[in-house]
Amino acid sequence: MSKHKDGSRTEAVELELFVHRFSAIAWQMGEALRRTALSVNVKERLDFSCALLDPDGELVVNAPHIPVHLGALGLCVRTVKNVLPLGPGDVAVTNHPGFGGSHLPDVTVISPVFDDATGGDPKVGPLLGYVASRAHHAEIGGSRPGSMPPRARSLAEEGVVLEPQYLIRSGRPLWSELRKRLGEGAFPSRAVEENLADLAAAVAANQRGIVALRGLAQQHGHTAVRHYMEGLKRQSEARVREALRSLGDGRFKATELLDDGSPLVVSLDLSDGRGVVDFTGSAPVHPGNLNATPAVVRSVVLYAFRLLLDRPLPLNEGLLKTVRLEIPEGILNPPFPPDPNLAPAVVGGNVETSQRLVDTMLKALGLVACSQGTMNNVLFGNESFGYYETVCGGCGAGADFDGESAVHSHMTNTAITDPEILEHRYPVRLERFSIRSGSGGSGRHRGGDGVVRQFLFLQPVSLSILSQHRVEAPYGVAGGRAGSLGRQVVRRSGGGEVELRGIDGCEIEPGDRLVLETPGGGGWGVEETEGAK
Amino acid sequence: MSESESPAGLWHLWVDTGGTFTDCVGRDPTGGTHRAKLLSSSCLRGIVVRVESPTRLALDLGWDLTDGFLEGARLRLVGAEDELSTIARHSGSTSELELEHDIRGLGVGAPCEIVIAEEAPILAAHLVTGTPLGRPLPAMAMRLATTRGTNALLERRGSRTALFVTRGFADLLAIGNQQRSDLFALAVLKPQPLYEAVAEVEERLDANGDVVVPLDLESPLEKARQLLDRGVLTAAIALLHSYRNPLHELALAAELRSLGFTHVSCSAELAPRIKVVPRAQTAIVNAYLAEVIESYLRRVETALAAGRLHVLTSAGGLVRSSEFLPKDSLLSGPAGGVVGAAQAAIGSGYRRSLAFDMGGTSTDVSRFDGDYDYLFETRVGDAHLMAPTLAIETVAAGGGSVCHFDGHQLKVGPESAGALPGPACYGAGGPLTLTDVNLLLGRLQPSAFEIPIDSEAAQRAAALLQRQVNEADDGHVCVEEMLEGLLDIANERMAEAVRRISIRRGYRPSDYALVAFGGAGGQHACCLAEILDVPTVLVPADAGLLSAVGLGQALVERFAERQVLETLEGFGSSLDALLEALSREAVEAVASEGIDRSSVEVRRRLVYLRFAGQESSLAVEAVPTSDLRESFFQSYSDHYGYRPDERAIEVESARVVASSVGSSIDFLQGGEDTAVSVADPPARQQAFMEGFWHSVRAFDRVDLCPGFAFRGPALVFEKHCSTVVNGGWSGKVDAWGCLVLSREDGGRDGK
Repeated sequence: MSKHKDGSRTEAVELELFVHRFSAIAWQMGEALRRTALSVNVKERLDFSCALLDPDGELVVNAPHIPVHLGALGLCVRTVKNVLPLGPGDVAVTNHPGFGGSHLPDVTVISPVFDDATGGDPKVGPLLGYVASRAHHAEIGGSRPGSMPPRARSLAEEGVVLEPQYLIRSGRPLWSELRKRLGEGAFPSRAVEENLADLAAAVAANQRGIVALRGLAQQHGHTAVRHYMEGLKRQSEARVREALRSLGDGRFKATELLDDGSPLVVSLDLSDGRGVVDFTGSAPVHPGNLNATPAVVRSVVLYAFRLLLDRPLPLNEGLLKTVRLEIPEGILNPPFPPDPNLAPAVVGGNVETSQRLVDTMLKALGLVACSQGTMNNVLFGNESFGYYETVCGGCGAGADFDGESAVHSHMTNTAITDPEILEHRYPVRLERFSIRSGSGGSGRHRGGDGVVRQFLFLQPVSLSILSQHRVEAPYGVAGGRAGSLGRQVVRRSGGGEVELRGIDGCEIEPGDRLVLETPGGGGWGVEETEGAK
Repeated sequence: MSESESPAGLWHLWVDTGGTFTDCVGRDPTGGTHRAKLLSSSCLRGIVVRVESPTRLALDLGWDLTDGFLEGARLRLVGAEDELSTIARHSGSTSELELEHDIRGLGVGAPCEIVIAEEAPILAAHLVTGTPLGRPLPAMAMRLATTRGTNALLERRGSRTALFVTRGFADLLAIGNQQRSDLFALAVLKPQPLYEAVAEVEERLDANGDVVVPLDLESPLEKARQLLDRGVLTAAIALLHSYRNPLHELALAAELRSLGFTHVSCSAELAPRIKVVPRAQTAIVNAYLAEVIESYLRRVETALAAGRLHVLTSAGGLVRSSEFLPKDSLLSGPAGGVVGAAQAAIGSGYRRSLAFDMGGTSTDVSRFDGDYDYLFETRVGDAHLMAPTLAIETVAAGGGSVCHFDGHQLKVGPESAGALPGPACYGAGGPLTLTDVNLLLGRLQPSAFEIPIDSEAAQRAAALLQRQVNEADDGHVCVEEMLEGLLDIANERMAEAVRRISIRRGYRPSDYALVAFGGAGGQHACCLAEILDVPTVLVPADAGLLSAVGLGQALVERFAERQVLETLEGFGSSLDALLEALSREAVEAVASEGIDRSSVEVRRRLVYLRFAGQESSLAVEAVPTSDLRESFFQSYSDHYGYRPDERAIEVESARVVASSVGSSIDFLQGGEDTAVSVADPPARQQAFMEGFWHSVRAFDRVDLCPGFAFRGPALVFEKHCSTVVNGGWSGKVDAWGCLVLSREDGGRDGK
């Protein structure tokens, strides 16, 4: 239905139409994935994202439900296509943090899209772009069920590592090879069939994207499709530049410490809306699992820029064209030797370091006080079940607003399981889930409060906690007070308490309780009537 | 007495009251049909045509009224809210009024309105039956669809309500599911809960419904007394696992009622299903709206006196007003349109249809596959509810949607110009809206508006936008291209809504007919159909009143449901007995309306199945002999495109729908296909379509008899509704008066 094939239509209209058309492709892929996947992580927690990329592997649109997936697929596709030629009928898979991955549970499936404008042989047409989907698998092996072991010191302990490889080669599926890979090694997956089902769902989602993108090329011509892919990136770039310009020229710098004292350092050098985001000074490679990958760092930067823009726009590669990222080797860019036993562990980097890095970026930009800055990952289970949740906390206050209480902030937004479903499915009783009042930092605007969550366990389980802001308090801004630290205490059935560290685990007996208190957000500004409350 | 019986002397009235307009279709005791469209504010607008003396004047109101009709109502000038005068005498034949005292500024040509102290449905009943306002209405059966509850919820005008909840969970709804609605908001804001106070209740059940901590009433009742003293008279109760065992909820409810709470909603009674957060929300919403809905229905019912009143639920079924629950009211308005559209399509021979209801501020779309698509959890405003509703998708795009430029792209909506200032062409300083765009492109008839149209104001608004675009773009976009681009953008947004109810659920739009109605539906239907590859568009007779027509076709209906949450292997043998029990329950509920059991049928028997561990379930029709496992796998592969390996299946729930047979009243009469053509050559109008100005034929719908056929491009004008027929489409009026538009290439144009 291109009514104006001569291109007389104004860009302002066509761009808006292509925003909808490209977004519809990513959205349709996401729907297909959500409907087809078996795992609760995808279907209900929406821990996945789908994206449309141009022939250079640059992100055009993606529809993340969780910001930690934001923009990561661009880097992943570019890295993978450089090591694995992708031709018609090929589909690639990887979860390797060294190839644009984040942590092992996030498995990415990539399909190239070739125009079939000639009507028959798809090999004839030019490359239109790529479609990719990434989904969090609840189980991918590793030393503890749930694939988020708190004490892992190498990548191998975290699960099965899939370096970029073909899932489908020239139309021929390689399921049995993959089944073998998932089931072998020191720490194989405990749910190979579910992994395969979710990978099949990802292939189906990509297929949906392939058909849709080809349809668009048929309808509007592949040069038009290409043109507006570029147009969308340019436009996002222009908008980010406007936003960065409004910050003025200069250097914005901040340092935050992880609970173990590892520094995260950001310095943002801006001039006329362009510049460098430099992470020099951040800690060396982390001995535990708090190593982030460049994909995670990109997500954080994209997220912070998107907050600056404060209005909806396609989240694509254009957003990062105005700045160069300097990520020296270390906790934010660890080297990955081929042997996973020698490669660093990363699971906490994705869920925790990412949150703390947002805190650091926002501190540099002075946008808002610190949020709870953690996902409060809680995992428990035994031979018969595994359960994973992330728990909300307080948001930081801003110059003209109080921080919200009891809500997920920044890099995650997963729903929490309804208390009745939790008790119906797992041998626990939730005794309390309430706002932890007073935990937000005071100030002219108050930080939001965290929550208190108390479980009574009815069976023996292994418990793991992965969290931050147990030592370093969420900062206030402009004289506002810091939010309260989070803490987690196990109350033994026979009496006595054990306080767990932020990244810790322990064995639980029936009758034991876990009391989790999540951090509050920092306040903004000096409280005018100090002591009035 | 059965609803389907129609004793002599009984009127049937179907009234849909929306936010702005109230639509009414009535059938008199002799079978004659009457129509009315009036403002939901119960005001009649008119112009002074003659002034005899300061207290005697004649009005043009656009209604044929009986003598004395307006006596007792009050008159005022538009814009002079406070100066009212009661109408002492009214002559219907001469339109003359005699006022009790004079009103300043009441000259010839002055716009004025008559304020009537009745709810809009009652005013509609007076108008349609010709009963003067002061007189009692004739005996009638009224069916009502109302957005009263929805508006009160969105505007937060409900009762002061307290929530009683299990100890440890006072913040249950404040925390909700811990998600934020805007992923990228710096200032995260969660909606404020609807309740004013929370009281924790010492009690606890386990996941099986067994008592772990017995109910202790002392502290909640102490709190309850304080609340009553403060004027909080409404309560909602949501206790953990009460869906398994409502014992504690019921005991507490009884105590609260006897303490003096005027309304108490129990979560387990309203939604006996697992998940305490939406169940508690359902109870809160129900309690919060109880007074609003009940007092409204009471006022209507009192005025009906000798009549009876049924109300349409969100699920498109009728319920006697005394049993109508506020939680079931939230989609009552759009549900009438869904029923009307589905029935109109069936009448015209299309079993599968997509309803496309485009109004002033929003567009509602839904799908019909020979039966309705139901949802059992819905979000309305900030509330996540457990209540059966028709699956209706709403998008904020309507005739009043504001067209603007954000510096890079043109945008349509989501903001709406509303009734005030309204579109630019209303001349009240409003912004450029879709209505203006349609007007400027020659796709509307200026004389069809109810108020004088200021086309120049619309032109000025368009020129302003054009300048903004050209400055930013450094381009030379011509105004028509920009305007048509705005239509394309709006159409694309509405197409996304249709995809959500079709492709998202595994259905292809090309297998359906698109039923266009609402004020703006006909203007966009062909374009929308082209985007979605839909081959047929239907614009039913009375497309502007279709929601009211749908009320006439709705059935008295009840749902009965039970949560199961057991494996199919384990529970399978008990399933028949459960369905039997549910059927009895639903049939009993319908029969309780005085309908003979022999005229009640169990319309649906649905079993909701899923793989163990999953949350979303699929509905499988429980035909007695069916192998449910096989049906489930079949349905799974239809929906998701593949057949998974064998794995454990869980029975999530079972639901049964019972309906009265034949309580639907056909009011459209099929005519003969007379194949007449319009005698005079039709008027022509300049319209911009598909990149060019065309001189297109402009038909008046009332001139088009069944059988009349034509080819696009063309325009069809009627009261409250106009239809744009694109080139490449042909139109025909069928025996039911429905305008059937077909793509001449059959739909698939090789794309």
